[in-house]
Amino acid sequence: MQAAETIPIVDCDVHPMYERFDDLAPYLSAGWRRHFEDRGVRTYARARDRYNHPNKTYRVDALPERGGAAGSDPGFTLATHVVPFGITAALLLPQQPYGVTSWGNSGAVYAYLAASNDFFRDAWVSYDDRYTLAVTVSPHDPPAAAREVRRHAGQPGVVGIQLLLMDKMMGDSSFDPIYQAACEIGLPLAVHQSGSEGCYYTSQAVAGGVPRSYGERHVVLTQVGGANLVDMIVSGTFERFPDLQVVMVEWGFSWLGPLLARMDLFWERDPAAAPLVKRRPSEYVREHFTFTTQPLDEVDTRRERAALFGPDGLDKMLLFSSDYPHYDTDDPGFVIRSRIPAGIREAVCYQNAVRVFGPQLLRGARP
Amino acid sequence: MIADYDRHVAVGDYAELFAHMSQSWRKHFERDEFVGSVRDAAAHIRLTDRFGDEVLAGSAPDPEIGLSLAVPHQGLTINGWADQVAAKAFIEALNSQSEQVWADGQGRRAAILVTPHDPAWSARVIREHGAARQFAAVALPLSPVLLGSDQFDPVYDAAVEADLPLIVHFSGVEGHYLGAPPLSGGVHRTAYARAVLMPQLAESHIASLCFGGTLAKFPALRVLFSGFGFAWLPSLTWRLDREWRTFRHDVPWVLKPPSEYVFEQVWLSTWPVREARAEWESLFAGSRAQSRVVYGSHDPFDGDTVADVRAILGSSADGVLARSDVLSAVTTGAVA
Amino acid sequence: MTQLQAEPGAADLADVGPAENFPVGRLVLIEFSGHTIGIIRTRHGVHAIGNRCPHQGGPICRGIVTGTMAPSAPNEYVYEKDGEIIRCPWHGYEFELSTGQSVGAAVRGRVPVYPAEVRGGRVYLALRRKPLADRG
Repeated sequence: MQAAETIPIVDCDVHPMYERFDDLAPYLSAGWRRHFEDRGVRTYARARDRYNHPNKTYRVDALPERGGAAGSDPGFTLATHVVPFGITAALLLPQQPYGVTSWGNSGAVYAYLAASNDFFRDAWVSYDDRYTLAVTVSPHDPPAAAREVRRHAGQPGVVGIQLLLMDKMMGDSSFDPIYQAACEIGLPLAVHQSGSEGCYYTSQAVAGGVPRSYGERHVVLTQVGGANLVDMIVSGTFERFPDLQVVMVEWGFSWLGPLLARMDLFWERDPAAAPLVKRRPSEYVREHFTFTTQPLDEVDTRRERAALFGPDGLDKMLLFSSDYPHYDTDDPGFVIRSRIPAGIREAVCYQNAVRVFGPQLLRGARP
Repeated sequence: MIADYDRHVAVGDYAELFAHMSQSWRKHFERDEFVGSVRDAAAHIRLTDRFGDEVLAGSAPDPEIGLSLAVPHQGLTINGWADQVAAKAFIEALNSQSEQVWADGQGRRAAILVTPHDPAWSARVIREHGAARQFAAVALPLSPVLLGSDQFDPVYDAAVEADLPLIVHFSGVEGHYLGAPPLSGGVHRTAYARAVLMPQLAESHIASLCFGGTLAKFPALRVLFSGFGFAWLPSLTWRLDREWRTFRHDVPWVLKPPSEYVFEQVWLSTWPVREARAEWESLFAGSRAQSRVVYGSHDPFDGDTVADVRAILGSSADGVLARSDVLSAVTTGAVA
Repeated sequence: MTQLQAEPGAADLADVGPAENFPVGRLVLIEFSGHTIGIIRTRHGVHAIGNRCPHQGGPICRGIVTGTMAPSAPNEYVYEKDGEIIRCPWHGYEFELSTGQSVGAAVRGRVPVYPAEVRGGRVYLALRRKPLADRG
């Protein structure tokens, strides 16, 4: 493997894990440690008895040599992913916290999330400057989430906020305390599927009904990203929070062009139907949203590739990502070299990310 | 010959439908609140929260249109009803209205209304009405069960036997009335948001028809998703095929890339054609995807005229406007 | 009858070790002339594949050796080809060990396959592509 480019590369979707729950013990009070020992800790969101993946959700070759789960060894990830592909910055989106979307105990949620956030700062962000972190918060208790966000203000290597979603869409005013805190300290939101989608009353769903299999569900899972984007526009979120940035991670983007055209068309026909929308809807999207590239749609023809990257302004909205170490990963060498058009490579590989996350994103850049 | 697959007809007064019912059903439906709800039933399709507009009956087709297909949208709204038994009496009355008033068996055809809540009954209705020249399609309202479920096989069987395409058109209560299909995400409070996200219903059902093996099991089945636009189709086919490549062994009854089934058995109508201007040029014109698109005015609800379609589709417009392969040869033969 | 292609005793087949080094049903990786080759003995013989998935270049030899579900009628599962299929550890694409071809023609491109045989208790390998005509 060799570095795909000599330009900086920011990988906006890397999933680290802690190896065992004991790793979080130093960050928990004795009381919470006892609570979790007694009640257990569910670290996955998807209902595995409802939607079960037929293969492995992680890449077998990403299993660390010393043992442990894929993504649990910062040194192994550095040596086998970050360094070989010349990655200048990896945005860490811890996935074990996704499990809290099925927890009912808010206190436990925030004790766990705070511990997890501190762990990843100490074990990963401090390990190497190329690791940057989005601290995780959930919708269980928005004022508590806002406090957790503020707790990390100004911390080196903390570049974003991973916002978990449950049943409420992102335009709901209950999120306002979180958005307020995010704007105050200047951090963008990063929103990734938790796996809960389509599983519970406490989660969001795809359109139409219940897909029968994991694969069928995965085809239409992108819809939930569109729904949340629409909800934020319709709810006037960006009128209230003009500085808010939202990074949509692993939702795809090939559905975006038609959706924007439809939003604009229906708004133009009847602006009074969405009174909190003061400007053309697509303008809000271009100003406030970015999308990670993985999983990049696999197109057959040059025409399709041009159309995939064609929509107005999309070149400023895309952020390269690998989704390391998951099964549907986009290999950086392959994708950057042969799938991202040369004309937008620099924008997609790092310029858009630096604009969204700030120059501290590149704190690990080698001269 | 220009075919318009999406014209809407409605009654302004339910007394018109009562004429087609038995006395006993008429007596059941005659109550003030149901009779007064005729406006609600006629308005859902507009996807608006404006209240109190008059019922639009549907306008006369553009003289250029040689074949128009009426979809009685009040019948589609049974997917928001609580009483699915009464719903069957209601849609049968609408079918009689189509046969006697809205369709003439020549240039004006209608879709037979059926119900997803009773596939066996629906199959009987299709067989009863299928040979009548007035009918050129079957309109199946959506329920929260995705169309790839084999519970709908009796409907597909009957449609194939009658050589009629299936039309799937939103009623307007999806994501709004309990028991109707959900839209994606959570609960959308504005009609605007629901209107914007409505096409995702077609995506989910197409995925289900492919991954459930329905299109493989019924190779002669033709399905037209109407009123959902079409610009989103390439994105969907890319995703369908990619997931199939990984999960083929989990759905081994999908015998070829799902997009192949879509390109052979699924059609989409043009409305609202203006939203597709960019994608038409970049992805559809002159490509395989173009063959999926048929003209559906959506008249009289902010519909697209033939001229509107020509303005957006340019030189490809004529091919789209004249496309008739979704209909049976009997239907097109009788009109040509 | 094995699925090998080379005439027995072909000059370019190299000895890569005793058959005991290659337990039946287990994919064993060897380095051979600078290439990583996965060798697996089956009930019928032996297969040798290169370590590169034609999709995104993933290390296919790290994948699992399994069977697959045959194309079938709706809602039926028909399991077949046990031990004859390898599934890439990245996106799960399935390939036949004997030909390198994608199951169900799901993807273009093949996994590289090489002539191999078991003879006299030892495994032999040649580092040239198995010609198309002799596959399967």
